[in-house]
Amino acid sequence: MISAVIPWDVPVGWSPDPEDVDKVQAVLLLGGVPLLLFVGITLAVYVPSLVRGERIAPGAPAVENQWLGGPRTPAGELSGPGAGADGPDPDSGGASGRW
Amino acid sequence: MGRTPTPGEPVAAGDPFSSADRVVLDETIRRAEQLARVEFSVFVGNAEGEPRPFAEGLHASLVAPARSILVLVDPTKRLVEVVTGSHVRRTLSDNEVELAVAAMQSDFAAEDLVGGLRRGIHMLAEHARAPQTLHAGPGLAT
Repeated sequence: MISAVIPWDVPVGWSPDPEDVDKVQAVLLLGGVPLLLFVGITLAVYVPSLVRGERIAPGAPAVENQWLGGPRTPAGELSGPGAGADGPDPDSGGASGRW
Repeated sequence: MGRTPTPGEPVAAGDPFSSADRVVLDETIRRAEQLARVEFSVFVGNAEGEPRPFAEGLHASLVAPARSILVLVDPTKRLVEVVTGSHVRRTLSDNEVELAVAAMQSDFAAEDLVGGLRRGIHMLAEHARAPQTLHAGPGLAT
């Protein structure tokens, strides 16, 4: 119908009466190739991390809690006031900052 | 965050320090403790809730809070907290702590976590060091 309105010429070298495209082949080509690319890129991103034993779950903390020069126990066990031998220090001081 | 690890240096996921960084920081803390005669504890991680109460809770959990300095660094929230015990405050004022915090902030802002910690701990130790007193012997008194 469009060819009736706009009389395009068949490009040189093209068949004037092409064969119908196989639907299965079209689906495989147009759907399969992007799907393969998606799977390939996903594997390329996650497989190295999985091999190294890293966590890939969303929401994982960016930095693991760790002590340097302090008690070698998890932070959750230490955050309760009075956990130390001397108890909390009411006259503690210090300073805060952000960057 | 910290110095970019050289190729081959093992750095676990979520760990801002390489094994070499840890050695350097452990050595810095050891020297600071020898210099100031107080305990240094550095916590690098996620401050839960309000950072100041969290830092004070960590400080209270130390073995000897009165004689301890806690440095908390949360690289995710980009905050640093320093808590000093009552004994430490005899020689280390809060103003001096603020100077050390400011120095750490500038290095942290330049993405140098290890350098900032080293500088901050060194400054805290220098200020916390008890002043040298010169006792005049009986023979020298006039």
